[in-house]
Amino acid sequence: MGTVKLVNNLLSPIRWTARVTIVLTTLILASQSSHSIAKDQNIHALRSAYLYYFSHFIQWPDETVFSGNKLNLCALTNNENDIFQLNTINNKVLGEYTLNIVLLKNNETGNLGTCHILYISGAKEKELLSETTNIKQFTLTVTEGNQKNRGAIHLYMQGKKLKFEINNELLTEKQFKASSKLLRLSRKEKP
Amino acid sequence: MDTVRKLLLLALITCNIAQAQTTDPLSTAADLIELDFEELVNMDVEVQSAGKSNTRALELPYAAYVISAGDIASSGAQTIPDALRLAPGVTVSQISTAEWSVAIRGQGGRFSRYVLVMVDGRSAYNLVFSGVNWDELNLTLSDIDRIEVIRGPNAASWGANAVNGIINIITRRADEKPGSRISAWGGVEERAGISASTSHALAAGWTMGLSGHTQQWAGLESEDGNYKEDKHTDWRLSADFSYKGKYNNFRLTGSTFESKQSPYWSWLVPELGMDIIEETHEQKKGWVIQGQLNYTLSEDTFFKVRASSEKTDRNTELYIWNSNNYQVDAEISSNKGSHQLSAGVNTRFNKALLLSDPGFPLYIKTPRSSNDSYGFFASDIIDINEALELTLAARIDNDDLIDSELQPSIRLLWRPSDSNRVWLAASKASSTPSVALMELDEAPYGLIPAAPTELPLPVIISLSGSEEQKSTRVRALELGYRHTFGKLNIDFSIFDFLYSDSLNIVELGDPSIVFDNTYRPQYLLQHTGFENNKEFSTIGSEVSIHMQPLAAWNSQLNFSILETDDLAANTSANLSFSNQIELNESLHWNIWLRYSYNNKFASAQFSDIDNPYGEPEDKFIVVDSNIQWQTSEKIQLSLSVKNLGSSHTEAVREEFSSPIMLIEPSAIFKVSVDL
Repeated sequence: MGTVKLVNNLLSPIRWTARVTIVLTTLILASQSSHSIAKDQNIHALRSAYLYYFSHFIQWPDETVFSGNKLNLCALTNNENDIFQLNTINNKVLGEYTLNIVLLKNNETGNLGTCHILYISGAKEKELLSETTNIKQFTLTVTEGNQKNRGAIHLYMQGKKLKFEINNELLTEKQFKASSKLLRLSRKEKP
Repeated sequence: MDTVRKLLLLALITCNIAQAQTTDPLSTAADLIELDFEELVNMDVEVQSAGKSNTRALELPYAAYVISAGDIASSGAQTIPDALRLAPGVTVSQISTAEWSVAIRGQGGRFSRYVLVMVDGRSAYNLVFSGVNWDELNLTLSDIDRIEVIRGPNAASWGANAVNGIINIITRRADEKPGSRISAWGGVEERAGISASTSHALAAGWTMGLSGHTQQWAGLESEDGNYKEDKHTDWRLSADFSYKGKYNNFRLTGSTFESKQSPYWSWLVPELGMDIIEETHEQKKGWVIQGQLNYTLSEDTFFKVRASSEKTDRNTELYIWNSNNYQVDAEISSNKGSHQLSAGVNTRFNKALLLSDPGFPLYIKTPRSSNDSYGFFASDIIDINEALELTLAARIDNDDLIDSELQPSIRLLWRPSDSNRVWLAASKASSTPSVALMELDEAPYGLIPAAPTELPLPVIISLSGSEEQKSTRVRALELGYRHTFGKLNIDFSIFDFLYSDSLNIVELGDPSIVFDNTYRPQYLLQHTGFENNKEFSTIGSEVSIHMQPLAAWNSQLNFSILETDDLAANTSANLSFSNQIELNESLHWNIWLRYSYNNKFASAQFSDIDNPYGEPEDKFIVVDSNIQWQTSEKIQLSLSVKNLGSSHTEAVREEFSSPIMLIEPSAIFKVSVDL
């Protein structure tokens, strides 16, 4: 029947060799002209997307002020990939608010008071420790890496997965409310 | 051939789309936030079934699909076969209350003989029928972390029968599920159950987990209304001790189970010239213990060793079938420059005892059998450049039943841009023969009634096995394409499988006359036997599309089509359209439509042999729906309805077939509490 003929054609040694050669040649030639793929950007894109979703799935205390309806996502990082990825979500709409990315440099940690979310990369732990008093009640801290001083949300790598854990007791204490979906997707931090 | 032309055309169009996308920008956070958060969390899903270092699903050079714990919960699935219906290219057909045929790309059957099924890397394989008893895989569903489904051969893995695909069921480690949860459910048709799990941190990096369930549901009723099975009951109790250190992690698991059901079996009694149908009462119980050590030898070299022992006893009025399996495998993988090298060895020792009731015609020449198998695999993933990855893999199996089998594969992955992947594969694989089919001795399996003018006596066909059995082999060609758009991901594959040395039933000599007690001719007896001389091919395609039409609406559309020259009715298709809708923050609704077309040949071997009790339906369409309500952080309620639509039939057991059982709508209500 027809299918048999097709299979026989596909598996015929001459046709098969020719097909493999053509496909391999085409792919190798094409790959030379395709642009470089920055594989390690994915983790930065993923991390920034997580920060966006934390803004989406967490409800701030009622008395929190959002000047100009902006939700300030502050990042204490000097990683260029993080900065690039965070900028791609700047001005994205989050319900009634607009996401405002604020990139903090080391000497700008005095501006922490306006941050609704503060992301501190693993390399910036010292800055976090020195600026603890500037972090306001309505600031949600997100940390990453092997830090002793963890934020209400902590990102970590498990194999090749980017995971997060939530200290819901701390969130509740600060009158934040995490959605059930976020809690479900997180690993709850053990006391 | 229209179907084939369309498939090839679609492949070409898809490849053109891939080329057109080469100037796409890299995936950014702005692209990713268009996806559902749950998908992001699962984005770095690791697939370990390939027997090599972990890789992102997008980067896999083969057709893969991961069913997550969330997918299982929101689908309302109550069994593993139910959950497997979520994967594209997988055909699940229910035979009786607790029997399923599970096929990947066709060639299924009661024991899924062309699929390698694993639980945490341990092959769930029975020697006698060279396959899987799905009712014995009654894992507590909340223990499952994910089910990885690989379509197509994959020689660089452990276990027999990785011919049409691999299903790896991966359970949660105790240290990945802190806390305790208890669930209870009840519903129509005697559906009821309770499950519980708890885990606790112990000293020195160890965590202990305990889990278990007990459940029941009513037996199915036959299409003609004359037969109704007794209810099914099963339970399982599992324990898990997990350790995580800086350079190693270890896991010791053990579980024990029992499963009871009462399927109807029928067989031919030559002296009566007719079939008899009997309700059997199956009681299956067993235990398994397994240990696995993962060790980091250096920054880029990893070692893994796994050992398991299992015992299963099966008792019915018709047979006693006991089995013991022991399995040890080890694997080392290392990244060296542009190479990711992996190599592994595995050994498996199987012992089985099968004793039949004298009145039941499952005559096995050697009731006590054993089979030792040894295997070795090696693979190398080579980064040719940033856009091309070549995978070379081969596996050699040596088995008491067959000679050494070499199963090579070559795979090429092309990354034309960050959001596009194209892969191409050519491989060979083989299945392991079944002891039962090799040792079968004069089992009556067919009756041709007498015809007044042409056939003076009825003909009884008896079937015997052949000790000269060979492995059935497949040569496979596959092409796949994946693309991530803003709110849509597409995964497409096309394949062409050529099977050789497949089992065929051939006549042995001429018919002989059998006389009754009064020396009058009673019937003609035609001896037949198995021979590995059949060739056939299968060609098909699968498309899996994930969409997010709205922020609170996620859809998964899967479509698969299969064409074979094995049987007269040669095209089958499956469509699955699943929607997860967040009605509000705490209320989630899942609605899932399934359409099945002509899957009877895709889901059962030897289904071209006429079943005296009729055939399963050509096509059916059903809807499943599940509403989950998170009433508080600790309490979740869910209401699931399944198989909405008209009652339908799905499959018939290929051996000792029974009247076809009806699948009817059902509903359950479930309460889960986190303690």
